[in-house]
Amino acid sequence: MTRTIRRISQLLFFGLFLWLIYKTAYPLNSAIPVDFLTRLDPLVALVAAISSRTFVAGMATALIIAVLTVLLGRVFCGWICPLGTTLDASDKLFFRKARRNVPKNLHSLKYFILIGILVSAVFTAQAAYLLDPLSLLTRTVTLVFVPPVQMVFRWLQEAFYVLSGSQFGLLASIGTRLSDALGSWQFLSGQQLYFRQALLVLAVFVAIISLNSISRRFWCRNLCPLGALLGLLSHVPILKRVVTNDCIDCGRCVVDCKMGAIPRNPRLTASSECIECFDCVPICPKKAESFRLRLKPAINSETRLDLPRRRVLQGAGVGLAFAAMVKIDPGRKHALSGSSNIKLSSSQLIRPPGAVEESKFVTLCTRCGQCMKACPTNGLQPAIHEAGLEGFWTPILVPRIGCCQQDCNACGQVCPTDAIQPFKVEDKPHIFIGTAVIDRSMCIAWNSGKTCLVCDEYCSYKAIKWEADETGIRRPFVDDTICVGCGICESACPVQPVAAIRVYSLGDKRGS
Amino acid sequence: MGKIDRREFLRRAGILAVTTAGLGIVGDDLLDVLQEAEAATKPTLSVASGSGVETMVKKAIDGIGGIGKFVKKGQSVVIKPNLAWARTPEQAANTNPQVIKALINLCKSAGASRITVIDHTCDNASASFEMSGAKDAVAGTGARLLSADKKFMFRQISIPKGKLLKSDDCAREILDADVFINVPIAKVHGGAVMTASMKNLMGANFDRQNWHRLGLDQCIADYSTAVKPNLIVLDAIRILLTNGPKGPGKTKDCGQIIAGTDPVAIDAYAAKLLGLDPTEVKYISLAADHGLGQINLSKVNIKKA
Repeated sequence: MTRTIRRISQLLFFGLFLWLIYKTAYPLNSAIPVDFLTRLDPLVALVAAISSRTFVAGMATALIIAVLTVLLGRVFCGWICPLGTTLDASDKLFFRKARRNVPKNLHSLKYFILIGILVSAVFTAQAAYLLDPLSLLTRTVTLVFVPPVQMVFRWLQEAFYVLSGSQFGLLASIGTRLSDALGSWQFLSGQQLYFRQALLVLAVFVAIISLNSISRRFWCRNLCPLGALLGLLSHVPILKRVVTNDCIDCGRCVVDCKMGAIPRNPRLTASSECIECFDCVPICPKKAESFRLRLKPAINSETRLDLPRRRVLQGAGVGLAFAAMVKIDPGRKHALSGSSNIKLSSSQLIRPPGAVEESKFVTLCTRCGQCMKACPTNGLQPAIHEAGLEGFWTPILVPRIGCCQQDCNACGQVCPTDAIQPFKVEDKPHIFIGTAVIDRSMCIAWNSGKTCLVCDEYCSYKAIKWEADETGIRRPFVDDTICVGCGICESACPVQPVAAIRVYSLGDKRGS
Repeated sequence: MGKIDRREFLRRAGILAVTTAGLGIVGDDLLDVLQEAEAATKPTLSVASGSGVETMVKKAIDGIGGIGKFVKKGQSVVIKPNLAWARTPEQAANTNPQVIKALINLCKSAGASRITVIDHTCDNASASFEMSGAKDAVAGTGARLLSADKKFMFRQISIPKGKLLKSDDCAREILDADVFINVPIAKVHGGAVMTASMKNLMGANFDRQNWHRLGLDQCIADYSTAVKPNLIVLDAIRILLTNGPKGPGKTKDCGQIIAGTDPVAIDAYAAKLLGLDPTEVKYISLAADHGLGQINLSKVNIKKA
């Protein structure tokens, strides 16, 4: 019974998770904020706040989960977390027959990881994004799974479109109907999405799933830093597992617990490890187990969270090393003078409009990828080297793939940590994210004696001026007081393979 | 030279006699005949002005024979407006949505079996369709509004008369339709100096960038030798005078709808409205060189409708 209810809860939240990613699209029309689930994540909240030294108002909702955990224990892990659900489901699908022996618990490993992440945050390096389950799964679904699903529907649309040209009236009208319906579907109306780095993102995900072959929920038990944070909060919850004297020490619950939360003495419970799945209740042959609300800590019924000091120090050391590695990255170095947003790592580091100043941005951004999903042109892509090590996988605009569309402000509305702040479409002429520069040695109008001016044609802000030369060829110039760096010129420029007009970060005016 | 037998001699003599006689008859009247022939082929532009978009569109088309001349009962119609940009109707960067609606209704009244409004937009299609007012204009009319933005919606065509553009693609809907109606708006244009009917066909193909690499003006003219609308309705209710083609820029209310079938004459007329000399708009001259129509407006029969 409880198992069924729990599964329904897991499925509902997983459905909500997928639905919100689906609704993360331009134009935004979701009743529930699409970043709702990520905003519930206390780890994201804590690390964003510590590493950026700012109070992230939008993440205050994470307190809900924090309080819930203090009262009831890690119900988030057992009932809500979409990655936990994914692992439970993959367990049923792929690992049914595997695993015979009870594996050794590595519970303390996740605390060690958490401490590392927190220590990095203290030294202003964002590391939570790598292993935070909500960031990780949102990123995986967005970057890895959405594009192929979209592609399949595109093929379907193509098939129906071919059918719509059929000689047979009925087939043609069915084809027309269906291909039009698919074509006007919001999911397909923008660009076909694809993301660089998708394979690497997938590899992390596959690795986490594969660990299930060692034990059920291996990730949640031993690695998840959010699980560790919630474990610390659920050290003494009100909702307790209670074992009566009917217990015959058969040990079934000990073996069966997918979290390894029941030690060799089945009367004890490691509260920090228990995810309140209640699976131990029905399997007890003597019906000796139950979960009760009790304020007083029951003596001897809980095992202490065991964190060897050496492990803590090791974790802190690794966190420090991570922070140091990120900080000594030469790509991080700012240009000698001018805007601190300009880095040596790339001259084309273009952030979405609404992005906060660079040093804050890389610490706030949790790399969930929702802005990339929302971007209708597919121009927002995970950074590889462009933002240095500290900015790995953060969103950058790659105008050659897609520009920043004039009438869109979706990325600012979907960012859970406000690394990209909400902005108004009407303000876009004043949000400078870069400046377009014409490469005259490649430009058709400057170099080949042909007319072109596609950049002028497309420019939404009228930042391209032109003058006719003696033969009447009109040659473009960029007015850098008007150009905001949206990159529509770079995306439309007919010169191949690189555009003859490119957006550089020199006009980036964030934080000024 | 070969020997000529009697029969061949008589045949040649006969031809010579007939030809000489023929020339004799024509004689002084040759000039008249030529002028008459020219009047018969003189293209007609029907210009409607005033108010009430729906009546203007109808009056303009009536001036060149009425919609029934172009759309027969049961035929499929493709309407190609200019919906390139995410701009509002007031900004005059796209074809006026009321013109589209009026045309749809006219085609319906002529008994069109299916009407498709199509464009390959430059800005995001849903934004362009929404902001241009085209989506609302088409809604409820029974016509479909199709964004031709995917490669599979196009078919390769060869352009035998093309000088630079030997082959290209064209939207399947346009190629397969019984009637193709081009509904451009008159605007100035950075690269092409101006745009009206022939430049609007750049939204009928898929790979536009290629035209710029090859040579824009020649490609516009070349494409028009292969993709020929049955009817052209030029929207000059409000035209864009600066910052074209996307604007926003200075607009002018001309309050005109022009119907015709000669793309060169239509574009020459649009040039005049925009304050340009048609012969100085390179793509129009190149199209005239292709023999696509009359660039000299004094040789065009301009009818007030």
